[in-house]
Amino acid sequence: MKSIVFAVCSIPLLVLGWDVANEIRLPGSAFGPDPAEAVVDLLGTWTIRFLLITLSISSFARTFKRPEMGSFRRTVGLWTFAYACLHFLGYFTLLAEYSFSAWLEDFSERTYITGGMVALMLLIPLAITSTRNWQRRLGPRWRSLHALIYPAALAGLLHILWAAKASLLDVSIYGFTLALLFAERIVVRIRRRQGKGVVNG
Amino acid sequence: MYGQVLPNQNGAPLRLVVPWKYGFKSIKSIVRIELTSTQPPTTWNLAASNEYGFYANVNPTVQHPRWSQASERRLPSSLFNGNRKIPTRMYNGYEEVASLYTGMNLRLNY
Repeated sequence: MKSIVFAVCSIPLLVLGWDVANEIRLPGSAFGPDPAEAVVDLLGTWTIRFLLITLSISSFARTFKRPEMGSFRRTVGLWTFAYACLHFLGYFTLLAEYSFSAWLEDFSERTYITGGMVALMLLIPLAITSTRNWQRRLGPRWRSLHALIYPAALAGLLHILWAAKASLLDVSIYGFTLALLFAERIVVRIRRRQGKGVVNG
Repeated sequence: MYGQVLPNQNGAPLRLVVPWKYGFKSIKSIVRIELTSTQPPTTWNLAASNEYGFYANVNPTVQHPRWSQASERRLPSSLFNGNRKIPTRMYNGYEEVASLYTGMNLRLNY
């Protein structure tokens, strides 16, 4: 089952690879007039989508009382990190054109790039400590460390918001989804404190 | 144009030419000129008034609130050649129109 989840997460990347192949074969055919931007944008879009999917796995597992779903969270979470890395690498190779000075310039001159780098940095320790080994080594502190996903998600949203030129629709949808996922967690914590649900009757 | 009489299909007898802006703004045929006492709203201005003013000139020396305007990328580009870091020119290189903006504070009138 986990391999199915893994395979499904790879689909956007495979489709992208196919489009890239077509673009190389026939320049201008697959991504419109700005292929570099389109590719980087697509990778970024799937990063935030997979991040939200990752967060929703716990919500679903709790809501539908299926704790076994939680095992997919790491798979999807690591795919989120993979897309985030590819998104940055795409930016560095295609838009910054391998120039460190260009990257530094963007980092200081474009607030959305600053936000994006922060989000990526926050994901790195989560990816490194994603294994069961690390879970054992860190014990209860593992949970606290992995709470970094929340500032990472917020930094990601700010990155998208600050980069928005025309439409705020996408970032609004992502923001609304994140708000729902936060709300679910807050409700769970409140109910836990109250002694989850009064006995029927 | 270029010393020749405009043929009818080029918007004769009167058209607007603003070569330092997007081509579609060089309207082909003026049918009405309206004089107003107040500055009318414009597209960019309406979209984000805190980021785009009435004149909507890209000024490489004045930063947009969220990003620098000192460089631009020319489109269409190709996948492995993003046409990065072409220095933005003042009035898109049409220095001759600078006189239209003399005396204006380009930080306030952007």
